[in-house]
Amino acid sequence: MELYQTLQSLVTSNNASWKFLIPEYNLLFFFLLGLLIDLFFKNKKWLAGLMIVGISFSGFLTFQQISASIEIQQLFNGMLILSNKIIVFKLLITLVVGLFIIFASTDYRIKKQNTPEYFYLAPLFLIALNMLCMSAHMLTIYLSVEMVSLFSYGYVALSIKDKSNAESGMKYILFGLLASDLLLYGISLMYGFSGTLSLQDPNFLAWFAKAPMPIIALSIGLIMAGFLFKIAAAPFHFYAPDVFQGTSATTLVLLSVAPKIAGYALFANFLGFFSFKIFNQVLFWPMYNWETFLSITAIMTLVIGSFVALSQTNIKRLMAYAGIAQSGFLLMGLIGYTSIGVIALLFYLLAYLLMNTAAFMLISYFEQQHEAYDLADYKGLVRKAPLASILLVVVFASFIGLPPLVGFTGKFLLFSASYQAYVASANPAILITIITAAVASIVSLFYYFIIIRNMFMQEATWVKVNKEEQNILYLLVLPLILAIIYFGILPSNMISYIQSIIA
Amino acid sequence: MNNWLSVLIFLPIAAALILLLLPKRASNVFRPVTIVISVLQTLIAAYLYAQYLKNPHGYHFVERADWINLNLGTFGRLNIDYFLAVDGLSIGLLLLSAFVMLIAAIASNEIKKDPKAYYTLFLLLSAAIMGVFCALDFFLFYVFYELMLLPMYFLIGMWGGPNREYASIKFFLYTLFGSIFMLLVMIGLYFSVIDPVTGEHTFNMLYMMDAANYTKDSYFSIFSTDALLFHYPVRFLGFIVLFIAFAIKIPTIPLHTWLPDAHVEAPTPVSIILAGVLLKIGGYGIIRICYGIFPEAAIYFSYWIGLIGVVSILYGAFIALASTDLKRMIAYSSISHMGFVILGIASLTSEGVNGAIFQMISHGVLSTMLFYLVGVIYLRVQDREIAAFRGLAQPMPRYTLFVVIAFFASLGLPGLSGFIGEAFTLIGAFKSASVNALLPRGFAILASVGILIGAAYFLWTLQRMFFGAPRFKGAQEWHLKLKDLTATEYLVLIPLALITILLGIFPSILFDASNNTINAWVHETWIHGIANLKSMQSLLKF
Repeated sequence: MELYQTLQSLVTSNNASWKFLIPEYNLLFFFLLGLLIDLFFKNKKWLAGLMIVGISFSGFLTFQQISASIEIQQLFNGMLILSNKIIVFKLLITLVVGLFIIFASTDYRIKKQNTPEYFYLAPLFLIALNMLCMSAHMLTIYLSVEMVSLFSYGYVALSIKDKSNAESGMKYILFGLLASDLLLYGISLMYGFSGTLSLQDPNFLAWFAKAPMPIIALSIGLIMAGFLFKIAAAPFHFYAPDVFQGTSATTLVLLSVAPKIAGYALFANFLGFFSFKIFNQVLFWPMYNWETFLSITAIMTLVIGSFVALSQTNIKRLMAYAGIAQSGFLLMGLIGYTSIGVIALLFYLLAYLLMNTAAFMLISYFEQQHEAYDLADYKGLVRKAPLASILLVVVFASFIGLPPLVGFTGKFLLFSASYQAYVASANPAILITIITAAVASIVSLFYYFIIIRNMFMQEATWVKVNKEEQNILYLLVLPLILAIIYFGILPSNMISYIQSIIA
Repeated sequence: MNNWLSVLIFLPIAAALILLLLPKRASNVFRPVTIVISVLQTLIAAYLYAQYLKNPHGYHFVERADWINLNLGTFGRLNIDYFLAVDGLSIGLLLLSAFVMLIAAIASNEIKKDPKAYYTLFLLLSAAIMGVFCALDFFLFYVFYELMLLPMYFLIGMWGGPNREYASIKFFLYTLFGSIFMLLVMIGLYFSVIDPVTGEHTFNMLYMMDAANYTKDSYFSIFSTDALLFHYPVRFLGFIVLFIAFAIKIPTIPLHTWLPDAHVEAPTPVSIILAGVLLKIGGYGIIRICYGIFPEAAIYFSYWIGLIGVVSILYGAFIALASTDLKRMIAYSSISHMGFVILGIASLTSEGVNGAIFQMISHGVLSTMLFYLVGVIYLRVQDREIAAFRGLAQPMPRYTLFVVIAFFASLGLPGLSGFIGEAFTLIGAFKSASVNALLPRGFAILASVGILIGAAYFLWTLQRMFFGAPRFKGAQEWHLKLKDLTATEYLVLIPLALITILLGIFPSILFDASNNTINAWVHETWIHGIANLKSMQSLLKF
């Protein structure tokens, strides 16, 4: 009888949950449609357009899900959760994927190699990313992490067919497998000692805290390793530069942003479940004071990312290290996981999205038009592509955090959030993080401006120009740049909107 | 109409946008448009100055509006105001900036490469400079302060000399180093200060200056019992960070090394802006922000600040004496002259601080003149080695006349503007020992030695380059090239020379505007500083 009731409640919960996945069905539908078109039609030029429609529609459906209450919806008995905060993450990711497809459809190299998978896998990738944002159970977390990784490998391998590319794909897979094994091992330990995989189970913390301290440390450490891999934070960042170098900048528009946003959504959810203030009381290891742990990670990430970026000669490797440093900034948002910490994190993710997509679109443009891969290839580019060069300056200035651009506003909020966290806890690790972040900002000026200097102040030795024009670039990048400036000068509306729906 | 300050700031931005939209072919309109905008700005600034003189008390032309106003739930509100106003401290500098920008715009006729980009950046820089002197909201101030960096970087880096890449990134890195940490202090101050009217946190500088507005247990509160960081009062650290940020800008020893590089590489108009305006932002920042917000730290460290000033005076003067490049010599003389500003501020006497402001404006005019004069011969022969010239007075007598005026004014000849500034700061430094016992008399004596060395290098340069029989490195070719001044050059130099003489004879033109503000400022800084210091010493026991 009891079993029957349990089953009954399970079924009721499941039945009630399906309707929350409408955007994902829509994506699935478009994926299948793309697959069929690929099978049965010769002319696949409009496939990308169809996917853009599908993803925009899914974005619209996700937007519709924003509810008046800030309560967390439990889906499928707590396997997944949905709240307005998660919807914001999902919307950001949908935006990236949409921008990516529009941009990729103009890349002549992709046109040439005739791989329609490149377009119709995107909805499926988006489903995986959405699931990652919504996961609330160790099983769903593991599954979505794997799913996201699978598509990331696929995109790296699909991006352009040449040798170095295969190498990047392989490296990515090997490191990725290692990371997911670590994650799985951590999860199994956690399961073994707490008796449940559900992070929301009331007994979970109580049971887990009774495990021997080294086991807790090991288990959380391993799980963190898996997460840090996803967001490319030190010490699990080392795959990023190799992968970036071998991947076309067009693909990086997607890969440098989307998995990272989903990774932060997961991280934020995970920390939320641990209600880590309580956890800090249960555990007395200073290492597992979350603030200290995150601070140390952030410091390592900032230092490694920014200082190694200084010595790069390849633009995509440089951007990879710069991205690692940016991860360090985002970790600051997690440290101040108070009410402003969330806002700061979400706003900086928006900023990061705008800046990174714009940057990689421009880098891809230089790749396609001028075959610029190394920093030396950027010499004198301003003579050949003045507008694109100036736009890149704006993007980089925003990355460094110069006002009045969105990167500055984002950093300002992150610094404020961390300062608040520091005042609340008086944990010196946070103060050191703040100072490290300030130093990292100064260092970032140096490596971004190596590129600017090459473009503006040095004479071109020899600049290649490809015939195939890509005018749509400006249609895409200019709005992004305007958004970078607009949200820098007038961030109020966006922030108060986010604020109004999540709290 | 009461939003003149906004007009002053946004006029060049609007013009910059218009320039951006013009086609590159229209290369002959960019400079006239910029000059017209600069003339308008100068006229507006002069009008504001005249208006201010009618009632030289307090803040005028106040503009205040919500800029970013967010309710962040449990975290409180985020309040950033668009808050502009000028007082006796900033009005003179505002007028100086507008005027120097005008001169720089006229002097830009040597810029031939990429005029569209050049004048767009120029106008953007002009807007940022006006904003810095008008902003009374710390956040707004910071935005304008940082907004200057990017245009300046490109102006030096794209139109500069052979080593321009190095010089421009060095300038950028130094300033950013100061300002990023300034951002951290600014955030800390924000979370410590409460707007007494609304009860919310605020970036308003005027509220930050009043100890009563700090929440009791905040890090920057005077009444906090545990505001120590690494066993040092947080307020002192805040002062040091802000002081470093502005000391880089002034620049003082030992944070000055970007300046000679930047000056040597920058084209003439950019050098003019750099010396004429940008350095003053450092002095302005110290008076307004460092001393205004942390008066007790200012008093506590005044000996060291005075010492930094004196060392800057002497060090700058000695290096100038040893310089072989005329532009580098003037750059170091700038460091020396700005040292007087620091010394005057450190004395915390009415004479000293009034003198500091006078010295800033006087130096703004004189350095504009000096760099322009260097530009005149550099434009003709692409050389400015002191040793490459001899007997310049013969082919260029009128040019030499202006050089003599500029040099004598700079070395402090009575009757010219440099004398007043230096004399007042020195009087302040002397008086300090008896009035508030902040600076020893020795500082003033050492600073006077600086004037002596100043006279030495200016006169020696005059003798080496201008007198005697003409003998140039470029021989006959140079003889042909070294023609006397052109009409444009007269247009620039005559007003500068007249202002120098005018300020030397009637210094009250400037003192009338600054005196009331500064007297009140000195008084308040002293009173609040001593009170705060006592309170902090008893609570923190350092």
